[in-house]
Amino acid sequence: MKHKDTLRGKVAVIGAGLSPVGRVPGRSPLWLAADAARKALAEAGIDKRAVDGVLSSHAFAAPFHRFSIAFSEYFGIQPTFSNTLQVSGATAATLFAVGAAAVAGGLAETVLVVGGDSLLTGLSPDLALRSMTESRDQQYEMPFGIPVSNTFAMTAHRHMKEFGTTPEQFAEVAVVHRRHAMRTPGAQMTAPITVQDVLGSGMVTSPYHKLDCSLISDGAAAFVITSAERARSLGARKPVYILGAGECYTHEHIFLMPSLTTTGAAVSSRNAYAMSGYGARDMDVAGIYDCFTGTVIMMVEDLGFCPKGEGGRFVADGQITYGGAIPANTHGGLLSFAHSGMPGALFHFHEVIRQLRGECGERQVTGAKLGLVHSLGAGFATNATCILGTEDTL
Amino acid sequence: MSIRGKACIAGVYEHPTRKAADKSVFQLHAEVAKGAPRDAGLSMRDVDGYVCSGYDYYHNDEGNYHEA
Amino acid sequence: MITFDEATKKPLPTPDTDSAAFWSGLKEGKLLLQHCLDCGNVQYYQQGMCRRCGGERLEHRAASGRGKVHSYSVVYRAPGPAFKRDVPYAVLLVELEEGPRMISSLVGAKPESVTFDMPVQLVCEKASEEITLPRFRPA
Ligand SMILES: [Zn+2]
Repeated sequence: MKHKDTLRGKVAVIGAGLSPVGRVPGRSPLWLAADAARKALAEAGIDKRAVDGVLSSHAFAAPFHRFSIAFSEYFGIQPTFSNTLQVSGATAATLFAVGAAAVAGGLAETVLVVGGDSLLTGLSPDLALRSMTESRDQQYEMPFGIPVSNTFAMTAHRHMKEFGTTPEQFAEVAVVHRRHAMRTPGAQMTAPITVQDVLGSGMVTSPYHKLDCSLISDGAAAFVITSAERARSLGARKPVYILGAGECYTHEHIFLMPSLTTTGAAVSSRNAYAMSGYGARDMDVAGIYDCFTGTVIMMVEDLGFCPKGEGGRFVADGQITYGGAIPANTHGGLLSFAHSGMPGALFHFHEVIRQLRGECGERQVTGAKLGLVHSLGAGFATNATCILGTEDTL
Repeated sequence: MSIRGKACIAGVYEHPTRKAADKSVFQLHAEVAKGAPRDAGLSMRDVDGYVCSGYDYYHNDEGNYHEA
Repeated sequence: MITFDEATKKPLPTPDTDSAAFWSGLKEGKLLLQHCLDCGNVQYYQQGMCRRCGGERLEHRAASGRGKVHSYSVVYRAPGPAFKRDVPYAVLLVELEEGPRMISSLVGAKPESVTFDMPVQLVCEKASEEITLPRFRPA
């Protein structure tokens, strides 16, 4: 580790909240975010007036230039620390890292981390069109009709070529996620699916079929983070500690991605593990950004759960579910629980935190003490990892 | 806990240009980003973090909200 | 605001001060790469400094136009109305003979015929008075 003085164990999550997710008509991104926030605060047992920091992602359906500021106004608070972060799908993990750094550095005492969007029911026709036409670089990518899904598809395709990964293995990821979502109250998609269903769901951008792709959803999540000391003095119930954080940014354009099959997640996770003092094999549960099925296969490799090239077999062998090496996305992930854009990855945090607190009922991974959450985006341009743990792991 | 005295500004650079019709925004960022480490006696290889003010999110947005 | 009419038009690049030379090169049938006279780095796309050494002595040289398909994806569901008429089409990640990779799309063959490492050749395709797009056909 480069820096001796790290965040490890200095900051804890003391409350988490979810809005309704999936199809939530008639609710704005700000309402969804505020609903999640009031639930997180209620769980933490603190009043909104005690919040002095707010960090958020942007919302596509509520195009405020400063979402975190608009949120604070809506929620009726006047924080003394705030920012709206934007590193695409990786934003979620950076919200926790930056929030923790702000608390550890004394810029804020109690930070609300929040994200909400309504992509399924809240986009005006104008915003929906923009989302399709402005998705990649306008000079070197978009003239060729390349949506961001296509960038992820090309990485998965190359993974097939280099390592023999199969469409059936991709499909298995979707099947596992659906099985997980079936046990999650409020999940958007709960009808069981098979590998054959995935392969027969129609090609979107090869090698991805419709059911290899994540959902479009409404929804929000929020978290209250504060110093470990304050968590104790408040008598917070089962605080979850931030033990490590790492990020890595390797390119902007997909054609400048150094390798299509090894991503910045290898670096971000290495740094996060180093800070935490734990390694991949110590993790009991994981939240892994699953924008596409192949993304999960590549991530279990880069996050160190299996050797490079063996992700397909790892998944097919049942290693990302209960009884396997690393139960991942036990809520159903972006593929089956919900994906409301940048807030989507906050749902992984919500689930891992609930797992570490032992609150997952029939979804519970027995004795889970250490968890990893990895967020990524923009054709693997952005990667961020957090390691979380219970009091015992400090 | 505070950041008091924990970090220092080791190098600064202000771009001399005021009207840069012939330079892209990225080029201007790159030129000042080169100047600051040089002022600190460091090279680009010593840099592992980058923060900038940018242009407006809505003209710089990745936009494809549902897949990444 | 984007109107529906605008959204049905293909997005064409607006060259900036970094990339003007690149787009005017294509109008003359040349795919220009930048060669760094300080460190020898060859880069796509055009910018004011070398991504490897930060040097600014960059020379435009036309690429051979030969390359191979490093990866690809055939698009069946269009990203917006502008590409609806084109599906299925093959987006290519081409590795040029000179080293750099670039995004393009296939012309002159069925999209399903693309394979990994398939040799391809540059085709300069006029898209408007100002813009010519670099596309590729099987070599
Ligand atoms: Zn150079």
